[in-house]
Amino acid sequence: MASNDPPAFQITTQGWAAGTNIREGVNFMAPNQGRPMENIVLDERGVAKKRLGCHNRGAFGADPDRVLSMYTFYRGVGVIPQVLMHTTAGTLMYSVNPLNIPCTWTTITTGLSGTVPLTFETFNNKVYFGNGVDPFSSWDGTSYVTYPSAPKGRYHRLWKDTMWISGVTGYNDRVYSSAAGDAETWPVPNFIDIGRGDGDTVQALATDGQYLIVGKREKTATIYDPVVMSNRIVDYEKGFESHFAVAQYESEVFFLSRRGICRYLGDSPSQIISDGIDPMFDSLILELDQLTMATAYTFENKIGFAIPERGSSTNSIVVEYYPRLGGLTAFGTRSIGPFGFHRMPTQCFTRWRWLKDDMLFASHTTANIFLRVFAAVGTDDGVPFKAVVQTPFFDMGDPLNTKYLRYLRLICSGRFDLLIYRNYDPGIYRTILVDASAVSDSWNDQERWGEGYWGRDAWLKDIEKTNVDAYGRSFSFRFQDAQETDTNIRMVWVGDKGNEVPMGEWAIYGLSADGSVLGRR
Amino acid sequence: MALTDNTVVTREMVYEWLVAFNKSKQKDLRKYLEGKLAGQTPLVDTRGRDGRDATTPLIDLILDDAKSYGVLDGE
Repeated sequence: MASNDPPAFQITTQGWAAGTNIREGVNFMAPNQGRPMENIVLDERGVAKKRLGCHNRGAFGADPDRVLSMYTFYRGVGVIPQVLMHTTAGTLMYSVNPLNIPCTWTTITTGLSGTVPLTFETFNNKVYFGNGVDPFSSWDGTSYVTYPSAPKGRYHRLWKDTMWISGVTGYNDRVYSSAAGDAETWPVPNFIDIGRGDGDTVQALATDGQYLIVGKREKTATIYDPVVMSNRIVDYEKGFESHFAVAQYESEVFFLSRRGICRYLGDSPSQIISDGIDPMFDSLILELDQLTMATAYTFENKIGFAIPERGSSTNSIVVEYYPRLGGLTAFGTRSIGPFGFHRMPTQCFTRWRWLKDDMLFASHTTANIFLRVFAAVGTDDGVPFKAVVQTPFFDMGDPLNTKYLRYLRLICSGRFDLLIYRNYDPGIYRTILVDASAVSDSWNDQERWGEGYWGRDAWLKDIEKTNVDAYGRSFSFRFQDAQETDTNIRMVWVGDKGNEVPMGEWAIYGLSADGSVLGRR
Repeated sequence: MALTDNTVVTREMVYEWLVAFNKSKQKDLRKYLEGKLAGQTPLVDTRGRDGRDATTPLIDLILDDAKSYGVLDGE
């Protein structure tokens, strides 16, 4: 006999392996995308976790000082790498030991430009630098030397055993090269104009190891012969916005262009990979005039681009990309991976590796503070921050009939709020506190064998919520915290050994729900 | 230092020449530099460079880039 019960349904979220998507219409998003998504890391495929915070490693200079650029000067095995810092006070400093808290800084020189950042390259056991205003200079860890006759350019890049410079005032198209193997000797005829007088300006020098990439703002060229400087245009409509917003990761070069984040392809025009976040590359959203100060980092499995939003004179949003989460194609190349966003008070970055430590350091946007990014802390320099991720709307394949949502289960860790939205309405429909951080009944010395749970509390929990009592044609689920300041752990299994690794305060692996279809309402 | 056919003319050398140059005689710069080059005006292979012939006299390249040294008047 047929049942008169209303038809039941079950839904399960599909994770966030595809990252954030702000391009598709809200009703056309894929089930494994998120919007909004902020301060979430995606390093475990499909899982959304709150990111770790920024740890204050001490102040530098005077209160008004900010960092214009930073660089890690590696000096070989057995010698601690120095972090070099160029500040708005016109001072170039180096860290004695970035592991010290507070980190102490020693002045290399003063009287430099307080607005135009130095760019750096290491060659012949020295770091060479310049900014187009101050003379080309070097630092070997103890001695500072200037070379007044060398090209005074903003951008420096080492390629084919040669130092290359561009960004000399009055020579917008010109690229200079030093003598082979010697960054302190500059033969007079060693220069070339890329797109001479085309009205464009070189904004960055980069290399993929094979060629020197000359990034003008509206086009990209490569120099493929360092001797006769043979060159060709590889992209006639996508260029580079910032010398500092170039990242090399696993044999590929990624950079910020006016049209989005690009992957350099060498022999063909660069590929825009930020399709899913396309709408943000709008003059009403980004501060185009400040894009020359956009920066990038590569750290662990991700690439970050810190970019200024409209009205901001500093980098206010971090676009993070996970290249290794892109699938492999039949040709063995990577397809496009997921993107996420962070809001962190970070302007310039440098990765620093020494002995057992591998850290990402940054400068604070609004203070003279040196930060460690993604440290095992739950705040950004003591300031709480919120993480949020939301699913698309689910209509259970039936956009017309009203449903009744009865019961939820969540695989998660930590403490956060679950907000339920319905029918594409931006207003919050239900708020449910999810607390998977509460200690469950673990064994203690007041109990007997066979009573309670043995061992420590579970780091990942499967918890339920009954009596959800929600009605709607479609539902979306947002997970966010009330600026929790704790951290948490995740387990990385290496063989049979579970390694506890710090992570942000909470994580959501998935949500399942059941309910009934009620009919037209 | 006397120049020979094998001398690599560097920016360091040209910088010193330009510092010593009488800035009020800009129109004489070519003649001045030719004197410094002491008759060594080799042709530079510029076939890889857009807008130039297969070879370009060194003196022309120096003059083309003279302002980048930042020591001539008007900068």
